[in-house]
Amino acid sequence: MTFLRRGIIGLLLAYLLLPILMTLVYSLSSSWTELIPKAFSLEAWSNLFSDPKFWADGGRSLILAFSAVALSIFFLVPTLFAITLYAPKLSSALEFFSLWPFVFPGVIMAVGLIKIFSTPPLAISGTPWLLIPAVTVVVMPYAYRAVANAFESSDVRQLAEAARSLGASDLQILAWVIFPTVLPGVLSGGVLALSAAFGEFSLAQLLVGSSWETLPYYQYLTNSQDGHKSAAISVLAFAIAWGLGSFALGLRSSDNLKDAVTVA
Amino acid sequence: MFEIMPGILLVVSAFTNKFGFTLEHMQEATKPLFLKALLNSINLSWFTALEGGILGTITAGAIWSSKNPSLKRFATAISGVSANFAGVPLAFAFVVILGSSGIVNLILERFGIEGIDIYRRQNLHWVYLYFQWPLMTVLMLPAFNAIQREWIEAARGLGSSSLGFWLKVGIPVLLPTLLGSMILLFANSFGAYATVYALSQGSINLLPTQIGFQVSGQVGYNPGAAAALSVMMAITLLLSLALYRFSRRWAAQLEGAK
Amino acid sequence: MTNSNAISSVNIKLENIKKTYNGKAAVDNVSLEVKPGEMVSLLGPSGCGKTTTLRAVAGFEIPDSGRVFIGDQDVTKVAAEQRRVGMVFQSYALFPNLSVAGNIAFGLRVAGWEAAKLKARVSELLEVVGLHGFDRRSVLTLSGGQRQRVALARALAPNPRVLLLDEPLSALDAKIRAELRTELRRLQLDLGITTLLVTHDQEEAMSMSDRVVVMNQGRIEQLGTPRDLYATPASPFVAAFVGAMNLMPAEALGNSSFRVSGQKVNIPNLENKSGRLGVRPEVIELMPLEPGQTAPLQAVIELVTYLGADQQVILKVGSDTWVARVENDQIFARGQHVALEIPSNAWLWLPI
Repeated sequence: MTFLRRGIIGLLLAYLLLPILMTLVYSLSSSWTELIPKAFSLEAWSNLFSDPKFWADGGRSLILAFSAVALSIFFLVPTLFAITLYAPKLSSALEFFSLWPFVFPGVIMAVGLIKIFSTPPLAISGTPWLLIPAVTVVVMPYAYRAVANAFESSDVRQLAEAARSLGASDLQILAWVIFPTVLPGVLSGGVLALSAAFGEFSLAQLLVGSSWETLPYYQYLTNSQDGHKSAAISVLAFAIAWGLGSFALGLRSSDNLKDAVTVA
Repeated sequence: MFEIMPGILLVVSAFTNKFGFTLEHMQEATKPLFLKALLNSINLSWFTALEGGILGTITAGAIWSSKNPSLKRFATAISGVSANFAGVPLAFAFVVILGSSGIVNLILERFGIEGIDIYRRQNLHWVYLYFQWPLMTVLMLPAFNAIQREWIEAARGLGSSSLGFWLKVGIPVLLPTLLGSMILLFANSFGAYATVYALSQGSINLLPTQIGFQVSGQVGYNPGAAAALSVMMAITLLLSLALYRFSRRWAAQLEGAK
Repeated sequence: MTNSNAISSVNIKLENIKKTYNGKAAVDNVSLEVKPGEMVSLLGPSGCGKTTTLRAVAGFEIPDSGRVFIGDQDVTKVAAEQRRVGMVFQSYALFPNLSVAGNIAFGLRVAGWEAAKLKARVSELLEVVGLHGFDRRSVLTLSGGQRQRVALARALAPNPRVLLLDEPLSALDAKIRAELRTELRRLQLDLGITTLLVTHDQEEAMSMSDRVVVMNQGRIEQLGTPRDLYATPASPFVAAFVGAMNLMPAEALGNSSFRVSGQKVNIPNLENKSGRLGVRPEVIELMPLEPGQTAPLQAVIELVTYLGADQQVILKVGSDTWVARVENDQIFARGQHVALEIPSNAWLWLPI
């Protein structure tokens, strides 16, 4: 039993880690056409870091990720607060909405959005003003689970009542009590959403493409030009996802890892 | 707002042209090429759902029954991160190992085994397995955790063997979550676009890549057909989601009984 | 307590409060007045409407009809945050992000107190609840009892007009509960603050309050001092809920005698009507019967439970089961036959 158990877990870990490790080695090699790489070099990495376009696209990705996550948090927290307090019956509707991006994944959403926003007066197709809200919606479910869990586990209703009986208004309750209380959930959800927003490709490609290039799109273009450089970007992306992911997981108790994924 | 509007518009534009109501987009969307795409997508999705589902369930069971807390934590954390890791970087990592001069292929060929050509549709499931397997693992872990060890002890105390417990209690308790999670895996794979697009530049005929083509206009530009295909896709996903919600309710009932 | 905190006590008045959920009356026409400085308990099983009544005073439930007064003010439509009531919850509801002092100061900050006055008030309250030196501690590091003390201090800090306690001791261990019960009552008397307490624990209600309101199914069953409730319960429900009571159907046989548990007893000072007869376990005395001996009311001992201060004896009287609490000096055995001696003025007559 123990052997089988270790075996299957080991197999999973190997399947998840080996591709990254091999990609890392590949990015560090100058030529790898035999079983063992012939020569190692840091050329791919230095190429990458010396490319001004990489930094520009990376910057845009950061702007996109942070603003999309901030928007989704600023939408989620007050909405969840209001629903918990005044309309608990709506919470299952909200949960359904949070799964909506499963029904309308990036590709489909892009089709709809292009339709709406490519003609005046709303001709913002191809600009970040369309991309940011769209990504906000797509990454919302990542944030939703963690924030909703924080709301459920901290008895928001009672805290709000306690604050209210002490004379606090709704706005004061939200800012002084609720927001700080659910902050760990907000952070861990936000970080997961950040990771997702940072890697979002379908919307970036279909909605704005090269007119407002982000990092995943940059890598997509690099794929066909310089494999070693592309490998370096892959490793970087893994590292970012890993860093953000383990930070997010560290923020919550170890037994509740289910919300590490996007679904309810 | 941002969710409903595109949805409604999608349905509207799938059934209208300049002149009003039309089924021409729907007709367009049922062309053999697109139907093949739909079929390919469904095939790939159920296959990866089944493959990831079985492996993920076994892995979750192994993690659950493991007595090594740091292995548990590590395996869970790595699954949680990888389950969300799809897209361009993943596609390229698989090019590195399974591409035409991929490392694993080199090794396989050295041993006289034919390599796996990742650009072929039949081999695409290896990439999908990268996120489906860990996704299933994290989805199943809570269900395993809901099985209390006292239950097993109670069953043993009543004279049931370990196998008997799993047949009579364990599997029925896991079943709703198992089915629900596999439906989710199906939907997850059905809607995945970035990975396969980055991998094949669209040379693999799947529903999401076809939709991407019809709007980005690299091969054929036909927003009406894109909308119609999107509606087809959304309906499939909506159905899966409804099934998933049903399975959640079923699971909640079982867990409520504990 | 110094008198600097003395509160000018006001009354709480409820007039015909009604509240319905999904067609079911949670509170059904409840009227009640809590006098200035008085402590009144709302006692009853869960779902009896006691919490809804309290929350109507706090402003968290708006009654469908009826009016709520605090002092002379009709607060029926006043928002909770403007009622100036102090509230303590069963789950403490401390703000986890704030320290002990931060929690106590919350209401003062909201009210815009200046820093020096605020600080003085916080340390004064820490003193009052016996948590001197705890100011900077995180509330998450405190024990249940300590948390509830902080919650109490927080509720009292902004000088509320009345204090509302919602099952404040129910989440605590038996020992801490007993301790805090006395302390809470002493503090309430010192401050003279009008207080309404919700509890399902009859011992708590009896020991802490001036008057107790027993509620059942949204209605007030009985309102009175703890002594009244115990000595003269108005209904079988109150009799059974407040303290322990042997309650048996009784048939009036005329000539002041009743048939109860298959035996005939003579109770001269009760009206001779069929109904129910009640007797508290502690008024029953047991006399051993020699074989062949009989008594007007006799029983067989089923079980003896030693309780330290006294013992509990489960009796089979006819086909009914009775409970008696008797002193420790007698030793009883299972199956032993005993005579029951009950002073005739200890019997209670109750309707079916």
